[in-house]
Amino acid sequence: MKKPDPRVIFALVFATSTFAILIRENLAQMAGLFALVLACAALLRVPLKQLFGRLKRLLQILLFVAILRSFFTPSGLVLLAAWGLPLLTTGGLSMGILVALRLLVFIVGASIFTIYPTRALIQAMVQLRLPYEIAYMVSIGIRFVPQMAQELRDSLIALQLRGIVIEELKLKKRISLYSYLLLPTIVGGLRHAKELAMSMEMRAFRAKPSRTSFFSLKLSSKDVILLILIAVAAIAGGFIL
Amino acid sequence: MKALEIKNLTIDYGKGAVLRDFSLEVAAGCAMQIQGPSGCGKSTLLHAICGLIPSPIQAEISGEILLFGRPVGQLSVAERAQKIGIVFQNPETQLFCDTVEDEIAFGLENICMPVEQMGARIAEMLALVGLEEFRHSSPKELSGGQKQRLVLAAVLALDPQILLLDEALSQLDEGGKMAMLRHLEALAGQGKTILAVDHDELGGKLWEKILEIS
Repeated sequence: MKKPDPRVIFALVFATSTFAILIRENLAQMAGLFALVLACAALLRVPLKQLFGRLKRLLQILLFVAILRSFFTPSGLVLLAAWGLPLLTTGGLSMGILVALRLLVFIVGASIFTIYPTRALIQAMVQLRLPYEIAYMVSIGIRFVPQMAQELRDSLIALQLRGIVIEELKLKKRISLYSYLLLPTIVGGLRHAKELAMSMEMRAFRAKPSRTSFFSLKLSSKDVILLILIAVAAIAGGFIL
Repeated sequence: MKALEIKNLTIDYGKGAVLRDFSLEVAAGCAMQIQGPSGCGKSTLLHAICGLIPSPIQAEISGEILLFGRPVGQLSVAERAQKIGIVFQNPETQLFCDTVEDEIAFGLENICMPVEQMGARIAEMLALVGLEEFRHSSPKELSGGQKQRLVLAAVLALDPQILLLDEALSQLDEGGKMAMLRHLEALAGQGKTILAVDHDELGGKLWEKILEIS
């Protein structure tokens, strides 16, 4: 299947994220929205298994948030109580799941962008009238995340090669070790960013208020239909809410 | 004609002057090499010539730097990019596009070159550095030497009159270094002004002057 124009995905993610914010209490609506985003991601061949594998830690945090939220929203039937105080209620549990699903809508929605090359995303942002400086800043910033993660992993491997078994360290020592490792990674990242900025400036970046583009995006008739469908769905969703 | 004129240049990062009262003249079309140990101010000199000091690199600077008779500080970003091109030591910090073609197009887009002319210019630059077959590849797939040649092509796409090399050959293996030197010799033959700084002698037949600073 040919990938839709990235602007279609921008519209889809904008619409679904807006609805994820607007749905405040209805768990069924949020579940439906999440199912829709998940289906779109699967249809566009986003490697979901890989995504959820990478997000294992984040999913644990989401579960924790959901449980925490459920304790602070006492409504409905009491499921768990202590000393006569309701700890876990059906209303609280539903609210906790809703919060977790909301975050998953954002995450899975954003993951759809990963199927596009950076240049296509920059061009989409530029053609959506976003200043090109910001479009480049965003895309290059995103590129730095995996690079810095790799540098951190390399530092960890270097430590392990010197005989330090991180898993065996006590939490306090482990935290201080990570803080030692983070500093050179951040300094390295900043140095890299500075050199890249100099290199870009010497290649006339920001020389003029606008720039020509060797690569450009064109909406196909299929893209237009998809955009209309998203708009109709968004309007219908607005009425339902 | 003087391509570059530096008069009494002093640069201080706040821990004592890195360069003091440095003066230099480079004739147009000359290929010059500046050698010196680490920390002697070679890179600082190139950054100053590029107009990157005092902003974005913060340092106290005094003296005068003229490019073809015009103070570097008075040049706009576009004018400066078309007068000077610089290749830094590490190609990884200079490449950020998805494809080799995009990397060369980046500078051309910035100076608003019409799209119809860009294709031919990109092809010309790729032929110049012998990377035609990699036009649609990712820069990540290239070897270290090929990456540095791509940076050279991306810089030369803007047709700068002066080419600066900041230890640009130091990370390359012998093969990569020889290939780069061949391209630089061809550029010197075309009348480009080339100024290279490095720890050691770079080799090659193009250098008309070798200056040592300590």
